Amino acid sequence: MSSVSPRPAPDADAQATAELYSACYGELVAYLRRLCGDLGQAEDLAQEAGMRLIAQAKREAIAKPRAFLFHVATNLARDQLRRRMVSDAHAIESEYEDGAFSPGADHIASVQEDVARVSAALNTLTPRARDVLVLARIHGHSQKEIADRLNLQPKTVENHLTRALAQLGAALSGRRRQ
Amino acid sequence: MNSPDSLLQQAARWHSIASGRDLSAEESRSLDLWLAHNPRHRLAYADICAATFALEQSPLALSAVQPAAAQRRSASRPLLRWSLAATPLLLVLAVVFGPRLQPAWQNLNSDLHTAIGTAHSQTLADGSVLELDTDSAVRVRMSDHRRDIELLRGRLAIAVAKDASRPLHVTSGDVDAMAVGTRYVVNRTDAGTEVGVHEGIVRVATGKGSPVDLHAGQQAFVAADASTAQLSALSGGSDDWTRGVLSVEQMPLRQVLAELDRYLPERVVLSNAARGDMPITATLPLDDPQAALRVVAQTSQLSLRHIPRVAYILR
Repeated sequence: MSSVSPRPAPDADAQATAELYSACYGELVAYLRRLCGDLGQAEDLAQEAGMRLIAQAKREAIAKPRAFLFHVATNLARDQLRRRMVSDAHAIESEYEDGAFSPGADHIASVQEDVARVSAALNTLTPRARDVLVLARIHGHSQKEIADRLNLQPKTVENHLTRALAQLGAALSGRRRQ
Repeated sequence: MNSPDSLLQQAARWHSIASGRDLSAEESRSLDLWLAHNPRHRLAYADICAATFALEQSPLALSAVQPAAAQRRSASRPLLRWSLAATPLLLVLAVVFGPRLQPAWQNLNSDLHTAIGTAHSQTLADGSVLELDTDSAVRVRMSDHRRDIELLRGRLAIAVAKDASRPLHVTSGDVDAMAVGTRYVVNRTDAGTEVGVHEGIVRVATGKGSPVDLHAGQQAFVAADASTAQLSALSGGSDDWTRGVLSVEQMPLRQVLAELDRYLPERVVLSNAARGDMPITATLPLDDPQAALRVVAQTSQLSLRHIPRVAYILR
């Protein structure tokens, strides 16, 4: 491994992580509020995700702390949504009845599993769809910029992006059915 | 797109609208209405969000890019390794579970490439026969006074058409294997490049060291971080793959699995590292690497687990 940058002391890491957390707290709550439709719940989830982020940063360096934070928060929300759906419908089959469903589920592992699954799903996209997706989501290009750069119709870019996202989402939503 | 969108597709459409720019008040209200309509909508939207955050953390996403600037540079090292080195947290995950991504930019820059699990044989313009193994890519240049084949990744065998006025060079990074009329194999891995001669003479040059002549029945290995070639006797079966089989005699299990790993999109993982040195003797079909793995698992009395699209785990 040629280019592992020297790691700062864990304390400095944790300090930087705490600062990052407070910097995106407002955005995180707004995001979660939209996702769950409830402000109180959004704040609870944001705080829980923050605690997990900081605990994890003390254990090891996190490559993409912001994505990690939002991801953990999203997975907490997903668990909550699944629980709510089950209790609403009394007993919906056994689809969501495994161990990962409990409140104490290991969310760090679930984030890592999602990353592995999405990485695998990336491989199943057509090269064109993958290019569009990566340019949009990793490099932050607008759909118009991508259309210009790849010489595509804006509508085609949108379709590629939508289908690619849906395909990655499907790789995660099928997770509990193995 | 006439069929009604699936829930995930609707969610993805909303997501790409919402993340591309700020929503108008009205759009914002319709999104909230759509989400509130049914908990399944919320869950689908949350799945899409989770996927995009996972994508941002995926080391493969970084290597899948083809930035215009990088396309020109003939990078001889896969971008993948840089991104892995930069993300220690994800390293283990990617090595163990990360599926291989055939570097699209490398394929674009090549004249001939093979997919994982397929081999290909081609007669070149000069009459030489080039065989490419699984997951390999080459660039071919023919001129009046020399013939050049650049091995970008993977493994090739070549039976060289005699043409004394135009020596044929196979280059792999800094290693240059030059032949006049002969048959030899060049194998490029992360660890280094191996050249094995089956007929004739091949002159192997490295970046700095002085060239070495290899005769039939000899092979040389140049490690990626060294410039000198280590000579040894040609190991039996080094061109078996051109016939679609892998014959091994007393080969350590670890090495057998690394060979089969080249033919599968999934990674092959030995979870019981202590068994890595166990010697294996077998003839394995490369056109059905999954069957080959089953044979290996049976011979070594390990259990084989398949996680589709991700990994084969022996333990």
